[in-house]
Amino acid sequence: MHGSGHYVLGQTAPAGKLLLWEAAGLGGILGGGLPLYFSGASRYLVAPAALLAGAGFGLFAVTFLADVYGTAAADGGTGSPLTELPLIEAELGQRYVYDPQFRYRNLVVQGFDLRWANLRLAPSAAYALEDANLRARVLAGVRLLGPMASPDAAARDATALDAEVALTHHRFAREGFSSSSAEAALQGRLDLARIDRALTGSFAEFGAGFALAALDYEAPGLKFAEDLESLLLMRFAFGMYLGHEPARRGSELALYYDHRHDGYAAGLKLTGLGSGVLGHFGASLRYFFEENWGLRAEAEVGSAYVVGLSGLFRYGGSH
Amino acid sequence: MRLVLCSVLVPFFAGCVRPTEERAESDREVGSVNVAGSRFRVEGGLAAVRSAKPGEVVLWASAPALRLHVDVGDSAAGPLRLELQNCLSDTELRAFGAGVPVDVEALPSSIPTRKFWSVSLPAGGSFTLVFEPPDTNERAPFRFAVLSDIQEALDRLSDIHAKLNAEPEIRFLLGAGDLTERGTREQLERYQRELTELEVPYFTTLGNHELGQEPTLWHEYFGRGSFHFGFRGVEFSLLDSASASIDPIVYEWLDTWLVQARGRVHVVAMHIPPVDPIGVRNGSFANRNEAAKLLTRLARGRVDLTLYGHIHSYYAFENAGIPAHISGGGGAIPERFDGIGRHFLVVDVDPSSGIREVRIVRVD
Repeated sequence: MHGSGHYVLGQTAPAGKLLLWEAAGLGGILGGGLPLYFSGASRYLVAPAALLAGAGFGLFAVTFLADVYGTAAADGGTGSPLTELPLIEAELGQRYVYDPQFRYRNLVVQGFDLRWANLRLAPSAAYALEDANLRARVLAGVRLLGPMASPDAAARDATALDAEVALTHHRFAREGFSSSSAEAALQGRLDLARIDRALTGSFAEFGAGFALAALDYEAPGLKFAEDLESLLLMRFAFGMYLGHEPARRGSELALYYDHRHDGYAAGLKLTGLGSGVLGHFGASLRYFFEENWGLRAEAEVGSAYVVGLSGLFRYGGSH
Repeated sequence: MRLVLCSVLVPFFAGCVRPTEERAESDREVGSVNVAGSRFRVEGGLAAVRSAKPGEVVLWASAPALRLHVDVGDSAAGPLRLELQNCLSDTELRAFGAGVPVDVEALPSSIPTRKFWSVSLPAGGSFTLVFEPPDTNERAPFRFAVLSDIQEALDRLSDIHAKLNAEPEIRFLLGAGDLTERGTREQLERYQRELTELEVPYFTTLGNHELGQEPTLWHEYFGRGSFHFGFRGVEFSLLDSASASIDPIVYEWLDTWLVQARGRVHVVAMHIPPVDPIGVRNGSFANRNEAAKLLTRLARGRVDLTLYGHIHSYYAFENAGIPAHISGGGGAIPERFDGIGRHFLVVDVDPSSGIREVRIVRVD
């Protein structure tokens, strides 16, 4: 039972809250899973039911990890959140991808995250070194609440809600096709100190959205957008901040589930009844060892293994 | 804690990016057996060896026409009794040794899809045994049916079979997997027993429900998961997509089959479709990029028809410009509110002009 760690330590208040949230998670799993099962994943119910089941599973996983975190972390938590965002963050790095279906292995990734007040623009690209494969993406967002890139809007923690839209183009020249997608999503982060002081320094993230992808097959007689495909976007994460010093702010470790079935990691290949349904799992570590400079390490498991390391540079903000 | 989490998560998911490899390797072994110094090999692995002992071999066919190569051991003696299960009722056997016909005796059978023969193959010789119905190479229109996703509805299979038997001129039934609930030995044997009431053979690949045993018992009973055959001028490729992916080995085979089928009508069937028409459900490949890779190949290979199972309803759509039909109407928990129910498909195909018609036959 989630919360039992805190209960053993005599912290009954957070134990009870975690148990309650775990029960809510189980309720979501049942509330979404049962209609999915009994309706045979009906086309009319599948999106809301899958979202509910996914959110329930996310809540269930997050409460487990939060219980582990809260019992292991020192008073005050493992770190403090960033309460004013940098104006710019740039990333340059490498990813190793092992996907038995494709030849590429090493990718260069680069991106910028530009913020002004509550607005965000984040172009990024990944391209293969030994294969003709390119994924380019532009994300634009509006922060509806939470810390922004403005000293006048400093927040008390990193709890936030963002509305995002993105365009992505992924070209597989060797295989002869490309995919162009447009998506819209809501992404939220909750600092778990708001749930209980014992969880200070940890956070949970939930996001959901929808994407539409146009496929372009390089085959005789076929045109752009020959097939249009929809994707359900869903993501949840548990994480912890790393370091209390101002220069460390923005450092964090997160474990996440991402329901995407495109991209380099795509969906998990499970043998048996769950084949094809799940997205991928991942872990992301951002660590700023100096005011402006940091590293990002990432590992994902889906249809492929993805691991990599990037250098980060940021400018502006409260660190 | 980081270490603890990593050490739990990483091994849990390790090795899951290619769950299909073992099955593709098993495909290579299907149809070959050595018995008392004699070697038997079915060309293309188009039949599973159900049993083999000195003087008797039992095969389960995955295609209307088979070629069995036999190298008879030096010490082998006496007649060989051959039983071919899951065959067309008018299947005939011809045997040759060094191009010279060998006498074959047809034995009586009470089941339309099971045939028995006795043949004497002299010791030390190499022989080719050809099992095929008389119309195998006749380039004329014909009809086949498609049935998938029976799973726990095995008890209600009889009325589907009765309706299939009532459909005129069906040459065979094609399957896109999920015959059983968990692919246990008992379920696979039960299914093969149920098929004795069907008047046509069932050539099928496997579905994710056949992966309930580790390793799967499928190959032992039904043969290859991925295979290719031709009949009356039409090419059929069945692919193992039961893990929401196709193995790289199978892609290599597919490339060969696509070349082989150039200029001919080509039907491709598999269990899990590359793309679910209801994308947010993702009853499809785990990786959308792999789905696009496969569909690009099929489009470039000018495939005429794609047939899928897995989703317990009926959808007719196009993928990469190729007509596609998802038919999961064998009785497994149906998709509700779709007004479909149990069903199978009947496909009329003309080797000269292509797919003439795909129509749904409702059972309930």
